[in-house]
Amino acid sequence: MLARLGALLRKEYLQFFRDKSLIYIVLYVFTIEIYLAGTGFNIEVRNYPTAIYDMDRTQWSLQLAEKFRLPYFRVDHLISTDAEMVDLLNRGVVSLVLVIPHGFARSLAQKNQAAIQAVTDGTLSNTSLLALGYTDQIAADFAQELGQRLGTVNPKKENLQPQVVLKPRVLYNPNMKGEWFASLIELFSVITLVSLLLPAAAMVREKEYGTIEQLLVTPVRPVEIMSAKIISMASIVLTSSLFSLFLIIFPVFDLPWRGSLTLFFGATALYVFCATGFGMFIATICRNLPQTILLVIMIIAPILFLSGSWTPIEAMPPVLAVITYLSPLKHYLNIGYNILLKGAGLRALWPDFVNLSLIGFGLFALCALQFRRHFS
Amino acid sequence: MLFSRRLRAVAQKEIKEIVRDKLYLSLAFGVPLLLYLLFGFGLTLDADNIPFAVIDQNRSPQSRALVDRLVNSKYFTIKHSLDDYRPLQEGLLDGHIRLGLIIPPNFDRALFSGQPSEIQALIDGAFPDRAAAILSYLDIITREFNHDLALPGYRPAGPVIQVEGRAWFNPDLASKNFIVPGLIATNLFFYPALLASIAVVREKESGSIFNIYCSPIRPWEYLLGKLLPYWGIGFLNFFLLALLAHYVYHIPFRGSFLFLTLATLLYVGVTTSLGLLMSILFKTQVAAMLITTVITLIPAFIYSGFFISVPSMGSEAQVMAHLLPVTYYMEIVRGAYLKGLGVSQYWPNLLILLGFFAAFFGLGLRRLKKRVG
Repeated sequence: MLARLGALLRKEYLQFFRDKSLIYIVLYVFTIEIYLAGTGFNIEVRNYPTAIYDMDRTQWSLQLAEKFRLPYFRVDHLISTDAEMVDLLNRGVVSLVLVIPHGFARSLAQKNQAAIQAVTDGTLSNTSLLALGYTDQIAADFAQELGQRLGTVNPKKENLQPQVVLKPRVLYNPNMKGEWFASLIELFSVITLVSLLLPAAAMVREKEYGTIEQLLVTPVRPVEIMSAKIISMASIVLTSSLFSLFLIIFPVFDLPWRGSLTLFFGATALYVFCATGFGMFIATICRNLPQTILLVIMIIAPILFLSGSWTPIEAMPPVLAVITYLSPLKHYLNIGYNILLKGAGLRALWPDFVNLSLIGFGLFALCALQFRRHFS
Repeated sequence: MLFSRRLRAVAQKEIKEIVRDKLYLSLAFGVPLLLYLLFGFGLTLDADNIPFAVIDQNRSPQSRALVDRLVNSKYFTIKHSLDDYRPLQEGLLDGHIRLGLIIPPNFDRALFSGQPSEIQALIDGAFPDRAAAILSYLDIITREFNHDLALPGYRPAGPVIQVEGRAWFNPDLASKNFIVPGLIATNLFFYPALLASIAVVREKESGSIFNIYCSPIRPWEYLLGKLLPYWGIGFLNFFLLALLAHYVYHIPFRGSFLFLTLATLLYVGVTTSLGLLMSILFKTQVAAMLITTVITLIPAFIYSGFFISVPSMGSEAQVMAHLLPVTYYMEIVRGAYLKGLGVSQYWPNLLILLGFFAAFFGLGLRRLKKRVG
């Protein structure tokens, strides 16, 4: 049996390494793609393109405008008409226009209060909200500073008011670096895509060419054909993810690995076997490659979506939140993040390991059953 | 007749092959719809119901009032009220809470002794955008708490600057208003490209391409014949998506639908010809489809301005954004839906899309000619 499996494995590797462009693509997605995703993705407000529309033109309005600066706001337009504001927002060149009305300084000096306007481009509502929050804070800080300079605020006296001060500490990723999050998410997504697609494609090709019939009349058993494909493709994915971690994610993004790498690779192996098993299952349904890839995409989208990577699971409707347990990526994501970023061990993560194994064995059994029905 | 008989023959053959394969045909229309429904309903970027735990060592009316504020806001959901640090740390470690709040024993005494009373918040930073959201929510809640604590008759001594925030084009700041039109752009980027990416390479793998090489058909006729059926499917998909945007998601439409339709026709032409180019460049179906997925699917979400506007990206990412057709169409589709803008604003985008089409189709033609010659 081992000899037969060995021969089949050799055949699979030979077939894979013959397609040069496929090797380049796999290398590309595991390295450059991950680098690009890590550097490119950033939901926070940084370099927010801003225009200042200062109608007041006093010392104070200028000082307030100066507070809007990098890294949060990038002011590259100083405008003086409404038409310019409309044009800049329409074209999407700026996303925030800070309007300081006439009489801003006078009102501050006489009535101790003044209003400014922050007009944002609401088409990207998530960043608009954050930008408005920052604007609020800048205005409040400026007012405080002004008060101290003018002597109307006495820091000691003000503190007699009861006041709660928040001391936040962000754990595991203190500088809230987007790269750590984005590069890992990308790695996990790429692992999912490739481990679903490669074995499915390898199998469907045999069906399309009819070579599967030739294999079936030899002494090898269907389960051996299936296992050979799963083992070969899984090993290729695992090796590529090593490349990705040690060439890109650890050295370039300085991701600290805090937990046990062995445990992480154990989980990765488990996940990859899970996904390749799923890929084989798809291959038993499809008759040609175009069908296969469409079905893979139809399946991968919910897997990614229900994993909680982009949309927090706690914010989903309750029914959807329960369904997320079916997404193997949800469990693998939790394991991967918690081992690498938080240094968690098996003691904290065993439920995820159990769930992942259950899904894996379920898929494997389903696949073996389907395979037997199909080919024996 | 605009098209020659040979061109029509190629197109007819391609359509027959698509229609004959029922599973493929239903997937060709089903997959974009599924993605659209899934992402349209589920992709909320609002971090609500964040699970948190609290260690209240003070247990005074004041500390309870503060915790109640978190509990009663839609942002947070309380999971545990603890006495000990250990379970708090473990909860953060395995990820079932994202925030731990610690109120020290002297919280209420400090509050009325004229010193700022400190509370500690431990935040899970594994998801940085969510951590940032938690920070700003906490900030708002403590600020409101302080405001309500103020002693009677207290007036802020210093100057106050009020910020009137106003969001143009999307006054409620509803995220579906930007996500749903955005999804039209991303879907129509990767999907038609993916469908077209097998058109030529399939014939190469099966060897039937040699029939084409030695037939009198001209390369451009062959390519256009291959392109048109997928162009048509992509274009039909657009109408399905637009119908859903209107009847299911109730997204306001402020521009000209005719303009958007024509722009989409051009855009789908660009994306199908991109897929066709990959189909010509690669030797196997797997390679062609995989590379098409890789260069379209993820970049469509990251660089197109789907989540963050292009001007606020880093310079490397901005270069990437300008290399992708989806970025130019993203502006058009959001402009048509939310800003009510049309051709007078976006004619440069149309010209650029036309340029992409010419480039992709031309490159494909050149590669194919070499083979035929």
